[in-house]
Amino acid sequence: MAKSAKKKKTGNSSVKAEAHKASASISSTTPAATAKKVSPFVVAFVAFHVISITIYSLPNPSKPVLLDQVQPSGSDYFLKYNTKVFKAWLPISTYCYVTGFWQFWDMFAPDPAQVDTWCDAQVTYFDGSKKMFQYPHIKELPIPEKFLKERYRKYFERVNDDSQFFYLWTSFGQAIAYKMADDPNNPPVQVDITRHFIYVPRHNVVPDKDPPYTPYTFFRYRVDQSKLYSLKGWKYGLH
Amino acid sequence: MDSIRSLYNYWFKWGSPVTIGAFRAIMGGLTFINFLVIWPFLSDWVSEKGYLPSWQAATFLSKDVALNADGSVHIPRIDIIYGISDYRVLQVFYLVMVIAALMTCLGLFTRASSIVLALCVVSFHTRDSAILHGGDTVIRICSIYMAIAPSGAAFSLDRYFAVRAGRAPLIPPDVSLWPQRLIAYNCAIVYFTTTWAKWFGGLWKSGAATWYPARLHEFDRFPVPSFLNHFPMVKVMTWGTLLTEFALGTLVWFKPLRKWVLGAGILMHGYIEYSMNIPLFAYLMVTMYITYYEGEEVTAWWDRLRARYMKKPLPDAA
Repeated sequence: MAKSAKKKKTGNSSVKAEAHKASASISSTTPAATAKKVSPFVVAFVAFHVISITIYSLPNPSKPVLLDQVQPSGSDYFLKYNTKVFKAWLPISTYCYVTGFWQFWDMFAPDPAQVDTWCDAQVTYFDGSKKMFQYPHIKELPIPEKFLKERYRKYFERVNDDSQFFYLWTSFGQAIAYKMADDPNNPPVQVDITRHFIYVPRHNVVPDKDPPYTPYTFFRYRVDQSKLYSLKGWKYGLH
Repeated sequence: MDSIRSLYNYWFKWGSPVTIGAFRAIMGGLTFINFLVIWPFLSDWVSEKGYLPSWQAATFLSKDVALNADGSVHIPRIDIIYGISDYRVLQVFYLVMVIAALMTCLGLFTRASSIVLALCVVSFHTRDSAILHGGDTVIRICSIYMAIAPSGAAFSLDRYFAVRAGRAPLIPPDVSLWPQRLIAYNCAIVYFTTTWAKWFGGLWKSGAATWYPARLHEFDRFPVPSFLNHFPMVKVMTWGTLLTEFALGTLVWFKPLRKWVLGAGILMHGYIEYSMNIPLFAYLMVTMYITYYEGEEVTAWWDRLRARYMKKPLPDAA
């Protein structure tokens, strides 16, 4: 038993010794390896790339600071200058956009979202009948399906942003109409898109249970019939 | 002067391609899985019948970058499917992208397949920006890095066939490491800038930030013990996240702390992966961590692992 333990210990120390040997060989990289020349163009490219992605990735200051409505403080001075001067410098923005290196890292920043939202839509048909369209509601899906359908959540997160992405609403409405259309004699004519939302309870005022979701119809879309008929391959007139 | 020289040596020295090869194999595999996941719903995201028809996608990101302030000169973005609305063509494009991701993962015709992959990913992201999350950005930038790096020099079928045919030595020759350094730097930038952005948020400073994502039910995945979502654990996790992300953007370059900082990063992403539905993001970020290690270190680690668990002798002992 003792012998085997000793053997094991010896084995371990041998492994560690080899590991030390290996890491020692790393830190003392051979002069031949480090001395290999790199083209000055490569050095210039790497320097430009590093500067570009750093400038491009730095956060923007808050909107009031950027619009000179509020006096900047602390790092705001630098970030405002970076946003207005460096980030706007065309070689940098062009490089990032054209090559695909554009990036912005704001995961749950500056503060995480505090509104939980999902959506559905009511589709009204030519004869006045109505049907509900259920957009993927990730909370209700089994775990494998959540994994597959995360893009739908992301897309609706954008659609739900009234201030920036309202121009996505028409194609959202048209796509719902297309999905819900199955009879050329009774096509969808109107789509009412509803967001269901709750404000996450404040961390210092926790209710016994979550409040119910509040529905709010934020967009009424009159279906583009010519587009619908064309995409469905239908012909105008009674079928 | 010495510090400039050592900085230059760090960025531009030559070394083992094992790290960049392993990175390519894993990142290529994750990219392949990512695009397989989207495939069943492709019609929703690229066809004229879906949520993002070509005209709509074009408005999300402006297609051109104005070189002159007056807009007189435009440089187009890389977008090989710009203006294409025929779904059959887009399906072929998508198939090419998926095959290129698989070939990049396997290291088959690596240079060509990784360039095709990068072109396709950038084009697809330009077209479909409205559905992208952070993991997609990681995939895009890493696909470009893989295309410019000698990423097929190790862990690849290209090399396997070359060694078998006697066209390549058994130990892969050294390669220039600057592409690997760029990946590591970009990884640090992700954490550094997100920490800075969070510093503007009152909830992060007050220690209450992680209270909220845990209650956004659209992100729900596996249940976690309730004490983790209540104070004082919320404060521990909020400030722990800030500290970990800051360390991943700064202290990770300090070699004695590297493994501890990266270990904390793996723990943080592991918890997010378990509790929140943000597909592949944790795996993608952690894959970037490997680029902080030299190829020789990865090889030594692998040899130690084999010696310990597979009863194989270390190379020098054999």
